[in-house]
Amino acid sequence: MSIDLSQFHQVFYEESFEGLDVMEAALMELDLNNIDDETINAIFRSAHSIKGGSATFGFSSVSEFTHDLETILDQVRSGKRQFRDSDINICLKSVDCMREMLQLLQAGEDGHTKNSAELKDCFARMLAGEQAELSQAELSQAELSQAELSQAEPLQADLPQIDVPTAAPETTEALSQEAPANVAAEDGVESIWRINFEPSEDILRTGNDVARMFRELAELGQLLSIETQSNLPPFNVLDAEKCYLSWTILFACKKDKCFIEEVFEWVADESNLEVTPAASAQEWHICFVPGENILRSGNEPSRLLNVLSEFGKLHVRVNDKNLPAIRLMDHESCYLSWDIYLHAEQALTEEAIREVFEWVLDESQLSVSRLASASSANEITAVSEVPQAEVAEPADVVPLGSVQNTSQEQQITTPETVQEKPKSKTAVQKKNTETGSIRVGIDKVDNLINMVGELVITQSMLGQLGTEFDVERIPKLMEGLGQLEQNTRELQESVMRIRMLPISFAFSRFPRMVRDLGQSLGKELQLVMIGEQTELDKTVMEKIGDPLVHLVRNAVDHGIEQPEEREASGKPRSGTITLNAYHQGGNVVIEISDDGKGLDKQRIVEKALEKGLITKAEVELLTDEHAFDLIFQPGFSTAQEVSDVSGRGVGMDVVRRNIQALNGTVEINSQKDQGSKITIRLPLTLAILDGQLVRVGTNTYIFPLVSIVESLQYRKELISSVAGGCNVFKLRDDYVPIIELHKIFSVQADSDYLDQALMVVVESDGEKVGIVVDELLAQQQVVIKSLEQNYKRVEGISGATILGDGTVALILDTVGMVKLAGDKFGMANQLAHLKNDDHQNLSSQLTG
Amino acid sequence: MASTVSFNLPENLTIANIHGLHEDFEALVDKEECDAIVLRADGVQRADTAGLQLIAAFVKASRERQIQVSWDHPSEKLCTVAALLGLEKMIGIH
Repeated sequence: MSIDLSQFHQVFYEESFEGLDVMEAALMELDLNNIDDETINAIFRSAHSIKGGSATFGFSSVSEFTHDLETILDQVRSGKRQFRDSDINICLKSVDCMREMLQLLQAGEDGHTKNSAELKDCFARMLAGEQAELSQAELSQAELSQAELSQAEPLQADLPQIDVPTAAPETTEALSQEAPANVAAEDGVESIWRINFEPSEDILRTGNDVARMFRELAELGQLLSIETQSNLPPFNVLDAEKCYLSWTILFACKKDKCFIEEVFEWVADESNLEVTPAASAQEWHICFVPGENILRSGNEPSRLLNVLSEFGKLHVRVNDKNLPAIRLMDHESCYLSWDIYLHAEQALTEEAIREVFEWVLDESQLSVSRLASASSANEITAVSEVPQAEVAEPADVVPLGSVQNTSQEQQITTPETVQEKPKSKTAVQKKNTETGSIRVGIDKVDNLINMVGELVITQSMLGQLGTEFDVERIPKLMEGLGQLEQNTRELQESVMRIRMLPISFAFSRFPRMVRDLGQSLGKELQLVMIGEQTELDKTVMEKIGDPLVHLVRNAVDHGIEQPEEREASGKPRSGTITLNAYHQGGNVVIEISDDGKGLDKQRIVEKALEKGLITKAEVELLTDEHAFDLIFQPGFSTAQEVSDVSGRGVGMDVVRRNIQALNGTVEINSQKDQGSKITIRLPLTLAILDGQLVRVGTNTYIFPLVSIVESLQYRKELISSVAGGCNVFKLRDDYVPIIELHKIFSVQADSDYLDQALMVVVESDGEKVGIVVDELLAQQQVVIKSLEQNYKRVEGISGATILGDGTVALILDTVGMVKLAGDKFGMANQLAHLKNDDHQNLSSQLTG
Repeated sequence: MASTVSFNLPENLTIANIHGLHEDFEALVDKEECDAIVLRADGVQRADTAGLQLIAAFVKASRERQIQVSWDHPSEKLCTVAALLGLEKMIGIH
């Protein structure tokens, strides 16, 4: 009997990915001056398990690769090999490479990659006694971005190259991907040229035949592609002797530019001819199909395209086949998709392009492919030149096979020909998302089984009561129902707890990322992580990853200064970035702080003025908090230069929107030359909440139960007024500020006489606040519905729910309410009025 | 008799401001005696994908109803966003 091993594949992949995480973490921990045997053993064990598993399932690509790596690690373990910093780099690359291989296998593809072949060569040389090195150049931005996303995205086949000093010159040349192709003709090296030929209308009348010129070109080299643009008039007015066509040709030859121009010598005066080296340029095809809700989440495609245009010329084709009739369309949904052809003048990586779309990848489809020159004729036929002004019809292209030439056998050693087309990552990522699973501690499962046991007992008790029912047994029935309620609640809590994961899942990517960023930017960095065991709902965890990456990158790039600069200002050379997570009042708080240069309020204000975000009159009233808040405005960036890491001005606004989409908040505190602290507050879960229902006038509101400290009768004699119009309540030894709910939400309360009211004391941002309400109603669990998705975001309200009687009640956001009240008493009166309009509209809609 | 309607596009052609515009457009394409619409767009200061997409749907609907749509001084901002999104040709803006 044969066993179907494929049923175990998923477990193997999950365990292998975990093993790779262990390897990566252990490599990061490794102290080369004092190598800990246990750390090396942990790395070795992970590699060994992956090797064993992959061999069992017949994944020879992975098992062979891991075998070599394991041999090297074994030598280190037994003291036969000295481990150096460069070896750690190679091992980290190997981890990335294995991740990529496993993801490809998981997607049903072959696990062999170009990367793995090169690393295997490197292992072979190491085992043969040579010392392989990863050059600094290899820590290019492409790799850097890749490394940052190492958890989710594997290294691409075209990224790292192993620079081998002992390699033969021709090998090095072949591997050097960004070497200019237009090498001097005397060298006899093939170059790729882009020829733009726009003849005059009369060229045909003068006896010059374009086809003949192209034949002559074919004799000089290889016509890689010919793209034709037509400007044909209607047939009835067409003059057959006029030329309405123009061409863009990619041409490979060993001759110099002058030989190409010579072919067009007779027509050059009356035509537009451009012959430019094509190899340094890159053509990319990006297919972007955004999710329908992309516009609602504030991710604006035109901004993405604008960022993309910084890489080079764009030729954008929009697809409107899903655009419904105007009457049927929802104007906040996105029905368009785009085919984008990017002509980049500089070296560009797929990762750099994907990074532009990083915030929308989850909800969109994106494919990025580089259009190669000679190796992929079909792809290049799609488009070559990217005219900005005109929107050309799809090009008529001569298929390569139809062009005869004498040098087809030649090997072209330009980057575009040696580079393999990167394998699609989208499919890999999609597959991963679909097969997601979580590991649950056995104690949680045992607890769940206990709960179910209790439930069964209660059910049997109630069943017995039902069959032998008697009016006298009503108290017993009530007791049984009470027990059922308790069992249901406990069961629900246990199930919810299963979805809770320690935040270390989100934090684990940062040690590697910070290390690589530090190396790339020449900064000395130390990462401190606190509260890694703080638990958070899995969905929230998945969605907070990207914003955290962005904030940490910003802290490294903009916050931490160069070591010399730090020393000059009396700081230690090494900058510290601290990630701290903890629970507070029913929320999870994540703080990202750095001891860098802090935000420059003056520069932020100048930039905001320049961009028209604020007026000069507003500048004087601007507090630090409001000034720092400006960096969350779309397109805002004070970075002097756009670096590879950050500074494009897309990001912070999207960070905030993504956090708000999770019903969370983000705040910045910063002190010049002291550093910055970004505080993110997230709900523990997005689904269910224990709430205290309260009534104000005819409206019902809900406080999250965890935020309530106590409730008490409002007593006038304990109230004091303070400057600014805010009242405070003497609560034992404390003074608690009072917020009258009906005033900030502009609704009608039962009475203006506060003596008859109740006060709910809640904790907001670590401080107590008293909220005045008319009546306390029941406590119950409520299912949270997003207000943003069903209406719009309203300050002070975190969501809504439907009560047992079918009415809608609003869930109060205590931090937002305090802010709202603060705005009212503070500078932003105007803002408060605007927000009041939202509340009035919402209240009037709810009351019908 | 042929009639031309001139329509002023709002200053903010963005997702937050196009609800009313959507209704106006629907009314406009349903107008029976209308043969041509001139979109006056010199005042458009902000435009985004949702705004441009609505224009695209409107132009498409107008063409289906044999209504000619033309532009009067479209602002540079509008033209830039239309070009970025590859919608120039579709909405006939230059």
